[in-house]
Amino acid sequence: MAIGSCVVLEGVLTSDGTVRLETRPALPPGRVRVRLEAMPSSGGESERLPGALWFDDSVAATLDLPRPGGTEHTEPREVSERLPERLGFHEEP
Amino acid sequence: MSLIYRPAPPDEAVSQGDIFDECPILFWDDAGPDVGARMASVTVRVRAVVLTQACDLAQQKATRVLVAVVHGAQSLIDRGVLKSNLIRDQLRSHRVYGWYFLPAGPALPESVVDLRDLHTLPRRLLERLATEGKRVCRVATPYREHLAQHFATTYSRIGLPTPYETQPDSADS
Repeated sequence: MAIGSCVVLEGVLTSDGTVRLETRPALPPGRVRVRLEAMPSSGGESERLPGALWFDDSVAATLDLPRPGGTEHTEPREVSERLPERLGFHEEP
Repeated sequence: MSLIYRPAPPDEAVSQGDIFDECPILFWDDAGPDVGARMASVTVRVRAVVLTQACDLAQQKATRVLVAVVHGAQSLIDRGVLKSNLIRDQLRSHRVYGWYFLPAGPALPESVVDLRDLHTLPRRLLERLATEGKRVCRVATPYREHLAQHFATTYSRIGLPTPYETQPDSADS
């Protein structure tokens, strides 16, 4: 493409001063002149940025909390089995 | 009047979020001497909160009730078990899996629910404690569901072997 060729594209000027183009310009790599023109918001923004960061800095408990003192020894009685408890299921009529 | 706690009359059915005093729990005494060839079993009376779902207690007539031990936060600090800044910075904002912070209320001081010290008690035992006036209060909705979610997250969270690898920022390359 010859020097002086001109294409018009739309994009977004970001807060750090760089321009993000919506499409690739049909020009060979090299020096170009850029003229910026503010445009009204189209309503449907060309990009949707993530919201503010929300770090989850939860941690696991680090130790076993001691139970209160005053324990009494018990004498366990052995049983042959421990069955699941019988829950009252509601049967459909 | 507390938004978080409400009184539960003695004749009211046991439900999730009920806090009982003098709950007898049984456990193995792994720190003490063995009795013969087996570990000794001991009992102690503790403050405990009901974790079993309210609907299971109300509709399905669960006879076994899951409870977690409740500690006084100041007591844990005084005994040197927890540091006050851990409670202030992390526990109060519920950022510790396994422990749940309960604020002070009319009937109990700032407390820590130990979700790693769980016990199953007969429902009848808790009903008896209620009639004896040992039910301190009930954690109200939506705080009891918040407690239940913290309990669920403690046991359902998934830890990855290693964090995901990330690519370096293009500005760094």
